[in-house]
Amino acid sequence: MPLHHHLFLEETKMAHRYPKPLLDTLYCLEDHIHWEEEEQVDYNEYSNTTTTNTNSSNVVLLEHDLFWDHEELPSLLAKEHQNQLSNTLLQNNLVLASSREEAVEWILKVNARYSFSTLTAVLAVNYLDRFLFSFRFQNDNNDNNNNNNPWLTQLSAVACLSLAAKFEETHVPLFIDLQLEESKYLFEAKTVKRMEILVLSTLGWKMILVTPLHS
Amino acid sequence: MWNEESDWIGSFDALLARLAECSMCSRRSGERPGAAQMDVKILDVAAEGGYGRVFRCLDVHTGALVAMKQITMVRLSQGIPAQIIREVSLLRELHHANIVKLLRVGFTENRYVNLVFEHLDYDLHQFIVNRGYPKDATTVKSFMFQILSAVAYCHSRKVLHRDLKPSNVLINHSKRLIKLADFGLAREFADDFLYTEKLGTSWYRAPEILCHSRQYSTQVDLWSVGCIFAEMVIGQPLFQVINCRDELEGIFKLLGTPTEETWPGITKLMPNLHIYCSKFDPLGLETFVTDLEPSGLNLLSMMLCLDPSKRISAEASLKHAYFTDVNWI
Repeated sequence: MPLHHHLFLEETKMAHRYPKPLLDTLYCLEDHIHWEEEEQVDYNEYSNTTTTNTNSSNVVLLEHDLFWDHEELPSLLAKEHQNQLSNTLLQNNLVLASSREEAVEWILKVNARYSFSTLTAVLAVNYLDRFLFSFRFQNDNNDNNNNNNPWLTQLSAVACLSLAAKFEETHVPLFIDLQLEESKYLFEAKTVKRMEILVLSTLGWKMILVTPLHS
Repeated sequence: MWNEESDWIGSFDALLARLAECSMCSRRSGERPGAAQMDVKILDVAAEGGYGRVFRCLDVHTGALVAMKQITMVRLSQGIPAQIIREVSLLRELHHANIVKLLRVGFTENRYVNLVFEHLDYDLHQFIVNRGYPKDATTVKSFMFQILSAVAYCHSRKVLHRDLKPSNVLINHSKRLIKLADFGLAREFADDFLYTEKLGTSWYRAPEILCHSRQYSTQVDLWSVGCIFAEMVIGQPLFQVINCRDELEGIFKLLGTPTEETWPGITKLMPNLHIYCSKFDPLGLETFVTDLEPSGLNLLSMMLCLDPSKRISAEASLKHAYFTDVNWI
């Protein structure tokens, strides 16, 4: 695929010039793009438009990478440090890992359905992971909590996708419309709103994510 | 079923109460209403708008004057407004002497978002209206330099303001210090993205936005700065003086109707351009903006340039001859 080709060239080039964390960011981004592409195949009615938009957008953005202002790099790396995620979280909690996987899958389906940008999906998953990590950290001594609240991860996903769409997209569907995709739970607008407040507060309103898409 | 639902709600509320701590504020939201929760004492209402209110307050800890912007979340079905998310997120990333400081954020009773800012004495609109306008050329130049410094910084951080106008330019009286405010319409930009069409106060809106282009970038802010520049010199909004029913008509009346030669791509952008054709010969900026030195007028003309691709950038503006006068501060 042209996309992987560009990414490969980018990685080869960067391997000689940039520190490792940046490559990690690219790998992470590639994973997300891969998932989105898989989902698009399952939704034929959207695949043409979305695929075209996604590929076109990514190709253009990657070309911008070639002209990076070197002053931006320290700034971007400093931001990236703040947003690092922890794999330990998922390794230690298989139940959470499973519900997170479902939540991410749901985010990608809705993202494709509404033709949101790749960046919106990346933002939403980032918010979700940072929130779950923070949540887990605060409840480390109470393993039962996650089991008692299986709906929490899905509600977090709805809130995180809504926040990402509000930050990045021009038009954002209502909460109810956002939840048209099949899931075990359907949350009221009031509930999602309160979860939005919780997510924003927990993340300290740090909603800007450093990715190559920002260059 | 009744018990299950009740337990679910109770469980969720308990979870929220336990977790809802904002890292920008050590207190939990919802514990105490309004000002107390934000560690401020309200003095009076400084301003009211469609969004909510701005209160003048005292910071309980430092005793300093602060401004608390309280935004009502009226539409329950949509949750936190996008403008709030953008304003807070972006201000959290912007640190510059000429950009207003956001001190803390909190929620009250799930009905209000409270943003606590450093306090400044008044805005540029008030300054112009109440004091006749800064006739002092040095003040105009100083204010322009500070505004452009802030805008150049935002653009270097890939942030568009999109709603620059005198009422969003705050002034510290004693220091004659300028700070940009109200980033509710601001956002990060990438060159190929499409943006929303409806933006800002019409007198300060760039022609490419008025043409309903949704592909625009940093240049829209420079147009707005140009309008502010002219307003500081003549004492009222430039496009209010040029009295037209249509904003675009006013722009073309002043600067001339664009052609494919002067603005490549304009006929595609404005299929109905023929309405304005041959109707206006430019009146010229000099007609309205008198009392501005030649280099200032030159800079202004580069900001109020119809073709966005030829409009001067904030960074280039700071290096313009207008600012190399050794006599100014």
